[in-house]
Amino acid sequence: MSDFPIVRRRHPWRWVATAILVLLAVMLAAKVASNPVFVFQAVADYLFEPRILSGVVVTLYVTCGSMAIGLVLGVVLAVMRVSDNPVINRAAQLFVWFFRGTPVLVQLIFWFNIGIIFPSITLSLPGGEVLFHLSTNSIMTPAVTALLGLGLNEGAYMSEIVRAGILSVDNGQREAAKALGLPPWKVLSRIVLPQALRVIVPPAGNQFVSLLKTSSLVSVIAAGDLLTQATRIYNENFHILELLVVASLWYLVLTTLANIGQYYIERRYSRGFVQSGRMTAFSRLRGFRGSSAGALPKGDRPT
Amino acid sequence: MSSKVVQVMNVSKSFGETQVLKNISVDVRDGEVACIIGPSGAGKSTLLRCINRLEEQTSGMIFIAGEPVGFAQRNGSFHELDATALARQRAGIGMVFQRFNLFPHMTVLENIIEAPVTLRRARKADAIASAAELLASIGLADKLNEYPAQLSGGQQQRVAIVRALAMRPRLILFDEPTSALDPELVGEVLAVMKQLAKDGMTMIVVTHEIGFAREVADTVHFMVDGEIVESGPAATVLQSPREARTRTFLSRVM
Ligand SMILES: Nc1ncnc2c1ncn2[C@@H]1O[C@H](COP(=O)(O)OP(=O)(O)O)[C@@H](O)[C@H]1O
Ligand SMILES: [Mg+2]
Repeated sequence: MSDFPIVRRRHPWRWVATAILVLLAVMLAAKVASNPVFVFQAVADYLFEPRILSGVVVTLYVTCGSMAIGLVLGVVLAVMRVSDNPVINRAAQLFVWFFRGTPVLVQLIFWFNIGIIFPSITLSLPGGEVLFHLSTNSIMTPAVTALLGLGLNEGAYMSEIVRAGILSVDNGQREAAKALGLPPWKVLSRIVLPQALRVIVPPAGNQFVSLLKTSSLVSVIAAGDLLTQATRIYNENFHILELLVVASLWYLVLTTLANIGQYYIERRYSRGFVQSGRMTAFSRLRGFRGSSAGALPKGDRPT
Repeated sequence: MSSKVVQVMNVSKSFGETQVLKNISVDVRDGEVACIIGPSGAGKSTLLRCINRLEEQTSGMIFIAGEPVGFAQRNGSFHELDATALARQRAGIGMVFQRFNLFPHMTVLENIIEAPVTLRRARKADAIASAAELLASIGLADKLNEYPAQLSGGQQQRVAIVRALAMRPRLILFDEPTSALDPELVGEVLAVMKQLAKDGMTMIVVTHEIGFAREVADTVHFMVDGEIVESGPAATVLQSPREARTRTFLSRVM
């Protein structure tokens, strides 16, 4: 039995800093609360208003949908970028160059108005027989435009992230897989991509959080997302700031959930690599109290 | 038919301007253990990698069990194989690397059954059973569900050998399998290789372990500057080499 009574270091300045920050927050809240123009009740009333809730749902599916498109497109483009074929390589490079070089907002408005130059989509046989014919505006609804616009743009960004992930995998891994007789597609899907994910997931999570917020741009084409709905409501009742607070609260909820999800996905894909502790997201949030003896792993606790 | 498993015929290889292999010819018989020794930069790894076509030779041809590696022979000409057919050929050639190259995101068991199961060489249950059996035979039965990072270098390399064996290859190539190991771990890997040799596996081993070569190898090839300078029965090349360069090299590594 070892007996070395240990007195842990105190952190007085942490408490001072905390006190100052709390004080500032209370002062700010008091200022807002005593402001007669800002109606708190309106925030409470509209937080769960059906139109706002439907906006939350649209924001979620536009974000998830364009992230899914972005991921698939990103992997395809990244694989094209690491290909030996110069034509395929250049095509992917061109795509990324274009979509990263122009504002998403411009792309969204462009897709929304594509019907001006291509009023209809017709597929016909060489003989002239029409297979199908659709008006562009009937396909390019605000929701489809939002998915397409954000998805293509996301693909361009994700391809760079996926490419960095692929390049981070040691070449010996590819060689070992090839030497075992795995065909190229299996080398990629079973050996390279799963290892690349460890490098891909953290920035991809950032992209997702960022996309949750960027999706508010689709309000310019009235896609029915959270911001579109908030705008519609404040155009009726002029509680502009209150509704922006309502929207912001929801964005914060969504991004917080995304952060928690990201933490678990990251842990999943670091299997087999040196593990940085087995804490859950919640035990990490409690980390502030962690400098006391409670943070010691079980075995190390003085007995 | 000949009992030659490997025929390297007039193989040359250049990287840009530099010629790394110069008109190399080697035969390896069924069940033979051939050791390739020589100074660093001689082209030993490149030769090994040409045999399973991780590198493409600039000229010459390599045959395994009579079939050209990377080509299909039709009407007297050699047609380059597509990636899938090449992969199928490689499945019959095992390779063990200096740096082990186990898949870090998979457990020991998953590493071993990945290729047999993915390539449908075996049903999963059978693959697991034979993986467990192979692991037990090298004393690693309890490591089945560990990740490579949890194993010592020697254990990783033994798992890598088992992973190659699981494909039931015609031949196994070893590229300095003990060079990345701490000295006290070299023995356990060499022991597994000796057992393989005893079981009749055809092996080409690039190594600096002259002791292993003397004990296990049937033939030894000494390589310098992209050429095989001296070949012959292990005892002859190692005890009484003809060439001055071989003598100098051996005196330096022993
Ligand atoms: N991919 C490559 N590109 C250019 N040069 C290479 C490449 N691989 C090997 N070489 C060169 O080929 C020569 C032989 O290398 P290698 O076969 O690895 O030798 P050894 O295994 O005998 O040490 C070295 O000079 C090395 O620099
Ligand atoms: Mg080498």
